[in-house]
Amino acid sequence: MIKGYWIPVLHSHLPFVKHPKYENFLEEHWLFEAITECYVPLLKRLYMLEHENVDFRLTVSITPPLAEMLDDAHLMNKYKNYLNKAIDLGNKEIQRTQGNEEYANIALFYRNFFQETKDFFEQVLHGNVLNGYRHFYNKRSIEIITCGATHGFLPLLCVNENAVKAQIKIAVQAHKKHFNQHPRGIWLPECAYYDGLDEILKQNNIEFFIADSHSLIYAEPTSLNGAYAPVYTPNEVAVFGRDALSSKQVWSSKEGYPGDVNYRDFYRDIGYDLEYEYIKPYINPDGTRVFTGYKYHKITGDTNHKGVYNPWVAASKTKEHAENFHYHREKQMHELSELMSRTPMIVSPYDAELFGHWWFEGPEFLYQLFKVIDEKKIIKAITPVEYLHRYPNNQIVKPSASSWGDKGYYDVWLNQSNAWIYRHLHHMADVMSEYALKHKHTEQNDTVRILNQMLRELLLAQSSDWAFLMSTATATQYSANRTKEHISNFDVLKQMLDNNNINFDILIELEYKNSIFNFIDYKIFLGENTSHD
Amino acid sequence: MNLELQKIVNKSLELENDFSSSSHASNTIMYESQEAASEEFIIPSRYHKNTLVLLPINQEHYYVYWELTQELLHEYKVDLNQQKLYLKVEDSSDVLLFEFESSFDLSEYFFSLKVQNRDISVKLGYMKENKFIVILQSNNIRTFSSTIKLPDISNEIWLEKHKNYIKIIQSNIENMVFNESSASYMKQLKRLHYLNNAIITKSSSTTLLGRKND
Repeated sequence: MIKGYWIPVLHSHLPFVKHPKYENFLEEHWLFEAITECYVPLLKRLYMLEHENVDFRLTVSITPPLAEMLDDAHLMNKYKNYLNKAIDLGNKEIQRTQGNEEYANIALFYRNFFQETKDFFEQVLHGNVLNGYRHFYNKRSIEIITCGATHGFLPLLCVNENAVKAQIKIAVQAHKKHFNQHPRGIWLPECAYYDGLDEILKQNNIEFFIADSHSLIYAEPTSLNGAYAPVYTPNEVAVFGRDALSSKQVWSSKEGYPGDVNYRDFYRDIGYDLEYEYIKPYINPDGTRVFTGYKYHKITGDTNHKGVYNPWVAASKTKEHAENFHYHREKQMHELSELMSRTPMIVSPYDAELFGHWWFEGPEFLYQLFKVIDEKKIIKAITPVEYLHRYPNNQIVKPSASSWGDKGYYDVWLNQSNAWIYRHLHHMADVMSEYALKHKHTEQNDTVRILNQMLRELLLAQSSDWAFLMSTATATQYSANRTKEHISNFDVLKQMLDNNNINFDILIELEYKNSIFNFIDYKIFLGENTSHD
Repeated sequence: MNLELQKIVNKSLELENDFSSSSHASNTIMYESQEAASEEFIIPSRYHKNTLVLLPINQEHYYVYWELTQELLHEYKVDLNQQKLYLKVEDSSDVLLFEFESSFDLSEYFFSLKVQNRDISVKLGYMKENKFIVILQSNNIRTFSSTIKLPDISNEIWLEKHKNYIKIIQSNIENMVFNESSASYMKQLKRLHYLNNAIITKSSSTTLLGRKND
């Protein structure tokens, strides 16, 4: 008998990073590493589950910038080079480690890992990772949901409502472009909600979103089923609350599964460990040491003397952890079912990039977990849409403003380190509204091109990643520069319009570099309501 | 609050602060190169506009920024070399909640204020003959909530949403005692509503009435 429903959600997102001027740009590796360690390993496991007739359900957000990058020919050519280089390094490593069986085995493991990734990418995915997601989306074993167009932190952009409307409407358009269907759900960027946002979601035919649990508990009125059943907003959009307990088991660096001593140590990498002259061709061209993906050590414990990583031992550990996760969910559902007369539901959202990148064995854990769930048939993994189909009757509340950031509100995206960006973002949105109206009827192609590029620059500046990275002091300089770059580009383009003097070299360069959303239409900033299509 | 509901609320909030953490993966995946630091972009230092914006940060902290043009200051005959600007945070009933002063025509300010569930805004102005003259008013924001507000008969509403129709079920039975689990309550409410023919199913687009989807 089914004791409860489990809704796993993987939020897949990276900011739009593309530097065509450079043959090798380190920040582009964020994408390449995520494809290699997260997206491809996940898809491979899903194909295995399908092949083994294992019933599984997964909700995956593929954000528009990520989808656009995965579909970008320039970036995917660079990705192929990245893989070839990694395979080349593996061949050198197999030779270097000859005579040391432990290291030779792990070197061979990684070389094969990169080679198999390349084979899968080319032969199964036909050079486009989105093809894998589309396969399962069309079969309804995964529900792909959208996100803000560029992952803008909506509660801090809503000073100009058109900015929020554009983020949502373009996200829906991007989803249709890449998946050929209307998204039924959305992962709000940073899980951030503000009162009134549901109306814009409704206008765009979005049926559900996910919020942190305090958004439902501090709602007006409180959700009577807590975070263990969805609610509807006054605009009839369903809200699913995030469960913290299941998050902790996976997220926690101390108590969570990824901290197991047998799992791969993320930080030890030959890019940092080996002699400079040897590793030089495989690190950044400027000489900066970087992760190569060849990581030979296991976590071992709280020591600098790390043992050699054994992928086969680690893989067997994932089965143990999958059993443990299942046990705890079963227990949790049992406790909840005594408090509720409906079958409880647990929503567990995670960053997709956690599974495989930081926690190398994460995709295997998910694979094992779906097998355990299918075998025991006590918990049922489903999607939010399936849940709503089973339980269409839910309480109406006005969710409280919230996010999934530290302390649950907006602190991470608005503090001393990043507050300076907002006066610019708000001004740019105001200009965009004004110019969209002013040039509403223009038929001049060059004017349209400039206005469309202004909108791209605004959207890219709005990405919440930049404010987040400034706040956490990770890639701070890059984030600050990226924000300034888009503000500056916007201003340059605006001046071209104001002075009726178009610099086509600049315009063409920006259109190629910041090429996100080839379908973009600046008139979206008129703020007219979406037609219900 | 009954015991079951209390437990559900507690479980929903349990550990939440510990694990209300986003983009954990970003910290490890998003490293930067030296190229990142080498490029420099010039951005406008001011926009020559009059603006005053209030943003919420959390339950206790807020951020405000402003810019005033020389034209506007001139219009009000404000000389910032000799006068100060005053910024007053008020609720929708004009109750003063917090105030501070500044001598700058373009600046920002973080402030602390413990008010929940209120609409607040900032008024920027100057003092003339002991009277506060407003020059600009900010946007309104709703302050955060961190209180549990159980529904009563007037605002406990359930929605049954199907592909082709929806139903709204509203409690209007005055002596209904909430002493069971929420789901049982819902069932009981539904049954009573059915018995009393109280389910509202109307063709209307009004939010809290049932309607047929197009």
